[in-house]
Amino acid sequence: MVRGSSMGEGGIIVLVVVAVAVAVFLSMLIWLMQPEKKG
Amino acid sequence: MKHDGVAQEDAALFEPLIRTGRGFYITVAVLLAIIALGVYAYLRQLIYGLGVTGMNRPLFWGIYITNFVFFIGLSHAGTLVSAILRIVKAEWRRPFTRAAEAVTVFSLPFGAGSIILDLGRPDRMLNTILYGRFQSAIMWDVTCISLYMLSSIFYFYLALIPDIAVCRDRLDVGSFRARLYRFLALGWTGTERQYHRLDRLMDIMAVWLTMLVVIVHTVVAWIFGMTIVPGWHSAFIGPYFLAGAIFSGVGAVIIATVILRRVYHLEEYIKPVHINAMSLFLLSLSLLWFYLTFVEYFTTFYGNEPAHMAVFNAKFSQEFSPLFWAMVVCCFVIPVVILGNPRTRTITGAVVVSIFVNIGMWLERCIVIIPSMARPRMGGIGSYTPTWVEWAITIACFASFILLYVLFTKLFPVVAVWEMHEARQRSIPEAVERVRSYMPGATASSLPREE
Repeated sequence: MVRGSSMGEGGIIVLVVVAVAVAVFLSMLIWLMQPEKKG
Repeated sequence: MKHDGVAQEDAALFEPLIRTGRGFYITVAVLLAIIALGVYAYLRQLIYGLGVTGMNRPLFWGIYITNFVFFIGLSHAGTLVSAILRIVKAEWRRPFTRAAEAVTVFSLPFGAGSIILDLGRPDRMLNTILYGRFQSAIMWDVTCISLYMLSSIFYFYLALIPDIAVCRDRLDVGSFRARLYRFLALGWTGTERQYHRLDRLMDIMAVWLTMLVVIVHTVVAWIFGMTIVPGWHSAFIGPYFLAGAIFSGVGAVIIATVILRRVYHLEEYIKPVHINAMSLFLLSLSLLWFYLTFVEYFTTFYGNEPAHMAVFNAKFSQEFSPLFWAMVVCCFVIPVVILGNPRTRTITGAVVVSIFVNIGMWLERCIVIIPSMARPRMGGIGSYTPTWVEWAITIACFASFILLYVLFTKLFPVVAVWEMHEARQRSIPEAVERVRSYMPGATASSLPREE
């Protein structure tokens, strides 16, 4: 632990940004590959 | 309707995936030997610590950080050439968008990785996540570069999907590659709706990536600019870094496309007109770079602040002057002399200039980073000479970048085949219609006649 730091809020921001990006890109892929409805 | 996006004339683009000559194996062997030397050098650094490098107090950043800025800059090429030209519907982009995107995707890991190389204890990289504070510009960098890397890989992959599906359906390759293609194609069937959606996603990603390029390189520059170190503390450093990044990136794309053109016989796809357009773009960037460099240094000179002038003099007339003037020759004199003359603005000329531009831009990163630390504000003079360990690791990074690129060209088509197909089918009538829509007096008779 680093004394005086507010314990990794920077790391949490990085992880949240990356997680949101992964979620958005995955949903884009799912939308792209969605099978066409029959009829 | 269903089509797999391949015209018969594009079959040649799949040849490198099927046939492999001796040159490929020799290239890979040489690159692996260079990488092995780099790995050995890195292991020494890991065991004995940063003492094996030339870094010292106050020069605690050397060529690893130079490589960091350089590779991140190089990575902007793909986005610029592919995304921006896509947004403005420049049709001539099509044969080399993939080559450009590959430069982005394969150079980014070495940009981000250079930070880890610069740490005597690489495990401390985790501290940015565990204890990182967002007040620090380094955390902005970690955030932006992570996002940029993810976005670039996704954009690159999106544009690859239709071609991977063609490889899956048409190529008779070993079971590993067949499984790889099947997995990566994600069940792509090539329906009209899929192509329509792919186009929409590519448009969205092109805009997003263009924004990210500006943000990422500005934030990279802020690692320096947000300190009060003489020579770094300037509002101007963000745009200066960005222009330089695009400059070196375009040079890298020219080198990559010309090599691919020659090795894989892509003369039908990458024509002199393409290289000429890129050369003129490179020339414009050279002029822009000179203007920005002049403004930056003239402002410092005119201000005449002692701390800033110490750095200025170190670059202009003292120990860093050979690097500084070599940079000016590589980034301005050579491009203007060769590309400014239509007779020398040939494919060979473009490659020669691009190589010099990249050497010059690497020197520029050195010139920005190192002299400022050699003349600290509190006084004294520092000196720095990179050791063989740093050179070996640096050369290994470049070799690894080339190796990834070479392996990529053996697994996937280096020209976006579906984009070429799309261009033949749709782009010509669309371009005619577009010109007609804004050209006063254009009538149906002014359109080209169908044969």
